[in-house]
Amino acid sequence: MSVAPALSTEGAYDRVPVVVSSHELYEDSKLNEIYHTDEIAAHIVANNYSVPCLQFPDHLLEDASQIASAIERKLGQDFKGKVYILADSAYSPCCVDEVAAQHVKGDVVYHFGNACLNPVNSIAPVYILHGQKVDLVSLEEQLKQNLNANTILYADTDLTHIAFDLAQRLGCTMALPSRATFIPALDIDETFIPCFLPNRLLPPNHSDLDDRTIIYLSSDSPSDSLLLHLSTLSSDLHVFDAKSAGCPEITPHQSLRKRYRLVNMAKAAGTIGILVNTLSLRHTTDVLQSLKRWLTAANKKYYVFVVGKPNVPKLANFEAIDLWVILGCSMGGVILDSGEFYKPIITPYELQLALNNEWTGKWLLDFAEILQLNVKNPDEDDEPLFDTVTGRYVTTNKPLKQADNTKDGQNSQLVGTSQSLTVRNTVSTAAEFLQTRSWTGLGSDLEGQEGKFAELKIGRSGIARNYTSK
Amino acid sequence: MVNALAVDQIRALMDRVTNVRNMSVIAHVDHGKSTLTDSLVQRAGIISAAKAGEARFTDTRKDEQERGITIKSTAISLYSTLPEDDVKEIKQKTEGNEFLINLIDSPGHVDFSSEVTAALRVTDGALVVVDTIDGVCVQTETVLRQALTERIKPVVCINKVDRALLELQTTKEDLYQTFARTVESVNVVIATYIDEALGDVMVYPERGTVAFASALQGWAFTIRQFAIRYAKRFGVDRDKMMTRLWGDSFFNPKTKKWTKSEKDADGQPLERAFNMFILDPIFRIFSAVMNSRKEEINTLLEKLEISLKADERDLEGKALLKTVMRKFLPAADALLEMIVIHLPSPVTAQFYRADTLYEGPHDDAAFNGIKNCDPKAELMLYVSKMVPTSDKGRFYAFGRVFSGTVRSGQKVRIQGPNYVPGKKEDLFVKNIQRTVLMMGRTVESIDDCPAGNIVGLVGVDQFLLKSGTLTTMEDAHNMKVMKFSVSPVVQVAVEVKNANDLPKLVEGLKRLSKSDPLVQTYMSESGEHIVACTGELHLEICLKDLEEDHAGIPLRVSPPVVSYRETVEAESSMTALSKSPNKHNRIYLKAEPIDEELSLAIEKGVVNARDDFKARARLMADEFGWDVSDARKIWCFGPDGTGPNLVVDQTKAVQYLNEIKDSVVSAFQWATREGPIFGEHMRSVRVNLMDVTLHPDAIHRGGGQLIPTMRRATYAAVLLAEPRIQEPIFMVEIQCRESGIGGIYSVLNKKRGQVISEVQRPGTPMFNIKAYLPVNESFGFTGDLRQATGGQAFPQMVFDHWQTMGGDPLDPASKPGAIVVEARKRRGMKENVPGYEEYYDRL
Repeated sequence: MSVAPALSTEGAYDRVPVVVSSHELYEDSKLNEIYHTDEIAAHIVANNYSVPCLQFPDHLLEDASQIASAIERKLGQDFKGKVYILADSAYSPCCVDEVAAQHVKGDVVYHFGNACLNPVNSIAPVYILHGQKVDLVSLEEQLKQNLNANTILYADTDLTHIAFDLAQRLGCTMALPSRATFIPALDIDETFIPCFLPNRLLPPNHSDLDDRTIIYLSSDSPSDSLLLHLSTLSSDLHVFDAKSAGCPEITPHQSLRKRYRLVNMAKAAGTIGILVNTLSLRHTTDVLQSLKRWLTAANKKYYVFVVGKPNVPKLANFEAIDLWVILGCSMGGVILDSGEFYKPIITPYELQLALNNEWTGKWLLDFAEILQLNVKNPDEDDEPLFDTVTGRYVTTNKPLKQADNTKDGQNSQLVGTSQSLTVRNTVSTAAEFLQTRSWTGLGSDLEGQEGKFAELKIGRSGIARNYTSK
Repeated sequence: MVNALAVDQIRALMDRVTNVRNMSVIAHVDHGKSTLTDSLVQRAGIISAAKAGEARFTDTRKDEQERGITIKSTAISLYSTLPEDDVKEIKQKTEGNEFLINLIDSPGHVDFSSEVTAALRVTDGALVVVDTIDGVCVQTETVLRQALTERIKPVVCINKVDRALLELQTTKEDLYQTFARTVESVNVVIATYIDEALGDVMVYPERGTVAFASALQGWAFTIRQFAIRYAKRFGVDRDKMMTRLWGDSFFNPKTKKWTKSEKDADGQPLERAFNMFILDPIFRIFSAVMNSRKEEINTLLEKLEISLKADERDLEGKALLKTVMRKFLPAADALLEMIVIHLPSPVTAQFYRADTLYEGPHDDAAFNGIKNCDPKAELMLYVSKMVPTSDKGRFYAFGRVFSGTVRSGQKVRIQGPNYVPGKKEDLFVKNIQRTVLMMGRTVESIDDCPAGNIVGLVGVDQFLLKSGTLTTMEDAHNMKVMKFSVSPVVQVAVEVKNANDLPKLVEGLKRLSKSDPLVQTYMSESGEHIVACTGELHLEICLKDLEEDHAGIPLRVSPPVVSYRETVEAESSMTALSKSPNKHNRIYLKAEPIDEELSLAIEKGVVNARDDFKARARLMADEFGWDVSDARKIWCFGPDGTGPNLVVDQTKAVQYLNEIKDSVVSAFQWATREGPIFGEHMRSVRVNLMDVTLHPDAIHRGGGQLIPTMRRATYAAVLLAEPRIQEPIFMVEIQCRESGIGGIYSVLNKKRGQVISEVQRPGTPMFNIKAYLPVNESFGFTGDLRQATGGQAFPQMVFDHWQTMGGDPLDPASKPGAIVVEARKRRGMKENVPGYEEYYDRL
C-alpha cells in the first residue's frame, strides 16, 4: 500500500441490531399489574410532581413508551408537567441516574428494574418493584436443600415480593431492602436494622452470626462484584438465578486470590488513575477526597478521570497510568475481570489494603464503610519496594518522593541526576512517561535526520467566501 | 581465629594489588573443593592442622555440614609468603614475596551453579578440582565453560589420588594414564572457548598448572616441586627438568640418559620419568605404611628428610600415612605456589576483562579505571551476591572493587540492574556504613578497600535485590549483569496456612530472593506466590530457608510445576488482520519461527536489545543468516524488552508509522508475556508487521486503539502459524556400575528420557550415561533411579534446552493439549484455547 491511508468508511460502524419487541403490547390492566402504573400516577399526583422521570434498564426499554403514555393518560388533562423516559444511563442501570434527571430538571426518578439502592445525592428516587415471573415451585425445591438455622435470604430488589413469599414458606430470615420509597410500598418491620449486607435490613440479632449461609436470589445474571462481596461475608453462599432457575457455580477463593494479586500490583504502582464512574452516589466526592489524601500521603501520583462507561480503548489511551482505581456503584460499576484491560483496575478498598500493606480476606464495597478507613503514615525510609508480583525491586512506586531521593547537596561530586519534571510544583509522571517514548510528537521522529523537509509557506487567508491567495 | 595482626597484614597487602590473587575453587559435586580449601585455610592458621580435611571450614551453614555438600559460596582471605626463588618465576609484575589470596569456595551441585557464577564474577582465576577416579564430569565442564566466558584463567587440581592408590590399587602407569586423560579432557573443554584476549589457558602439568592432591590427607604436589628437587641432583635447569617429568619422557638408569622412546637400545621397556621420579616415592610410602613395614618407613623418611615427632611415630595405618604425606608434600605449599605463580593478579586480569565487565563506552573514566585497576580512580564496585548477617533480614553486599577505593562512610551511587544512565530509576545515593573483610564464618572490619579486592559492605543491602553496581562517578554505566548457565524451570506455589501471615510470607520471599542469586519469586496470574528454582535440591533448600528463616511461618507447598513456552512452527497460513475498536485502524501481521541458534544468542545476551542496531544487524546477518535490512528494522524484543521474540517492520511507506511504534512495542511486551495458548511466555516467535492502516487523526490512532489491536493481531498471527508449546529439558548425567545400567534405562524410558551417550570410564568399572529428560518428568526421578539400581546411581540434572513438543496444543486429546487444559484450569481460564477467529477481523 503505497497510497497514504484514507479514512476507511466501509463498515466503519457496526449497525446496532434492531430488537423487535419480545411480546405483544400489553393491555392496560396487564401493564398495571406488572408495572403498577396506577400507583405511580397516584404518587405523582399526591406529591404534586411536575417533571417525573422514568428510568429503565436496557431490557425493559421496549415497554418504556407504553408505560409513559399509560401514566400520562392516568394523570389526565390536569397534569401540566411532562413525563420523561431516562434510558441508556451513563453508568450502571442499577443506580439512579441523577445527572440525566437533572438535565430535564426532573423532580423525581421512578427507577425500574433491579436497583442497588445506593444512596444518591439530591433527587428522591422511587423504586418500582415490578413483578417478574419465576417458577416458584422448582425454586422452592432447590432452596430447601440449603436451609439451616442461620440461613439468610438475599434477593435482588425486583424479586423482593417473591422472596417475601419464599422466606415465609421456608421459614428463613429475609434481608429487607433498606428504607426508601417503593411502589408498591413495602411493609418493613421497624425493629430491623442495617446490617453487613449492602443496603439491606435484618433483625437485630442477625448481625453477628458466625457461620451464616446466604442464599442469593438473582433476577438477572448476577454481578461479579456483588457475588464476591457476598462470598466474603458468609461461610457459605448459594446463588439462584431466577431467570434460568439454575445455580451458577461460583469460585470466591479463586477470584479473591486474583484480587490479592492486584492489591500487590497497587503497591508497586507509581501513577494511579482514579476513575470516577458515577457522579450521583452520595459519598462519591468524599471517597474521592479520601483517595486523593491517601495517595498523596503515600507519595504516589494520581490523575482523576471521568470517562463515562469505561472500556478497553478508553483506558488504554492513558498509557502513563500504572493502575486504575474505580469509584463506582458496588453492584454494576466495578470491573472485576480486568484481563482484557491494559492496566489492572481495583477498588478503593483494595487500594487502602495496598497502602496499608495488609490483607484481611474481606472485600468491602460500601463507600460509607470505606470512608471510615484510613491509611497508615507511610514509612519515611526510601528503600525500594520488593514487588511480589514480579519478584523485583521497584523504585518507581513513590514518584513524588523520588524527586528528592537522588538529590543530595552535601557532596558536590554526587549531585543526583534528578530530571523529575515539575509542572507548577507538582511532579508530572505523565511528562516523564512521554520522555521514555520514542515518538514524542510531530517532528520528533525526524530529529537528527539530514536532508531538507518541506518549507513553511504562507497559505490562503481570509474567510471561506473570500480567500486571498497568490 | 584470625588475630588482629593478620587483619592488618591483609589490609596492608590489599594496597599491593599486584600481589593479590582472587580465585574461586570450582568443581563437580563431591570432588573435594571444600576439603581442599581446608588445607589452604589451615595454612593461614585459622583451623588446626589436625582438623584440616574434616572441618570443611567454608561450609558455614548447619545443613551444609550435615549434608556434606556446599550450598552457598564462601569467601576467605589468606595471607601467604613465597620463597624469593619462586617469586622470580612469576611472569607478571609483583612486589616483594608476600601475597594475599582471596579465595571463594563454591558449591559443586548443578542446582547451585548460580553461586558459582556470582563467585566467578569477582575472581580472576579458578582452581578446577577434578576427581582422579570420576574424571571430568558434567558440572566440571559447565563451570569451566562459565569461567572461560567470564575470562577467568583456570588451573587444575586432580584430587583424591589416595583413593586410586588405596581403593583401586592402580599401577603407576595406569595412574599416569588417568592423569593424562583428565588433563586432556579439561583441555578439550578449554579449546572450544579460545579467547584471544585471554591467550592460551590450556593446562599443562609440565608447566606447573596442574596439581595432584589428596585433600583428605592434606597433601599435594606439582611437577614443579619435584623438578626443583631433581634439578639439583641432576644438575639441569629447572624448566628443562619439568618438561622431562611429564609425557613421553623416559630415563634409562643404565645409561643415565633421557630418551623419548619407551624402549631402550636392547628393546627393554623403560619406566616413564613421571612414574619413576614422582609416583615411585609416593607408592613406596603408601605400601610401606599401609603394610606397616617399620624398617622401610624409617629409611624412606630419612631419605626424604622427613622428621616425625615422638607421638607421631606411634601412629599407624592411615593416620600415619596422613602425617607422613603431609610432611612430605604439604598441600598448601603446592597449591599456593601454583595459585600465586600462575593465576593473574587483578592488575593483569582487569586489563583484559574490562571489555566484558563494563556496559558503557570503552573509553570513559570508569572503563579506564577498571582496565588499569586504579585505586585512585572513581569507584566502580560490583555486588555479585548477598550474604546473610547474624541480624535477621539484613545482608552483607558481597562484591569486588574494580576501580577506585571503597571506604566506610563513603557516599556512593547504588545502581540496580534496571538503572539507565541519566534516569533515576533503580538509583540511590547513600552512605556505605561499613566495609568488611569476609572470612568464612566471621567478618573483620576494615576502613577501606582498594581496587582489585573482594569486600563485604554493610548498609547497601536494602537498595539492591541481588546484585548491582556501586560507583562515585555520576555518568557511569552499570557493570554487566551476570548471565547464569541455569534457569529456574522448576516451580511451586506456596501458600500460608493462615491468611494473616501473608505479609510475613511476602517479607520472607523478599529475603529469599536476596539470599540466593538465582531463585525467582513472583505471583502467577491467578494470584499464587510462586518460587522458581533450578532443580529439586535447590527447591528443597529454598523452601526450607523460607519456612524456617526468612518467613518463619508454616507453609503449604503445591506439587512442583514446570514453566512452558509458546512458540510457532511455521509461517502464518494467512496474514492476520485485526481492526482497532473504532474500526479505523488495521494491523496486518504474520508470525514465523526464529532459529533456535538466534533465540539462544538472544537469551545469552549475544544479540542484545541494547546494542547498536547497525552492529546487531551485521552480527545477525553474518551469524544467523538474516537479511541485513530486515535485521535493521527490528522494532523490539519481548517480553521485558529483552526476550527471544521480535517485531520486524516490513511495511512500505506507511504514514504515521513512527507514531504507533510505542503502542506496538507495549502491546508486544504484553502479548509475549502472556501468550494466547495458556498465558505462558512466548519464545522464538518473529512477528512481521506487513502493513498498517491508520486513521489520519492522531486522536483516533492513539495507544487506546492500537495496543489492544496489536495484541489481538499478534495472537491471531501466532494461532495461524501452527502454534506449539515448548517444554524445558534437563541434561542428566548418571554414573554407575554396569549392573545398574539396565535399571537406569528402564527408568529413563518410563519418563520419556532419551539417552545420548553411554561411556565406560577407562580404567574403572564405572559407566557414564548422559540423557535428556523432560523437567516435567524429573520429579521423583532421583528416588526412582535409586530404587531401580539398588542405590547405586545418582543423577546430576541441569537445564539444557527448550524442546518443542510434538502435537497440537489446541487439541485436548494430544499430550501438549492435555498440559494446556490442565494449566488453563489451574489458572481459572476457560478450558478451551480460543481459536484465531477470536482475534481475527474480517476485512
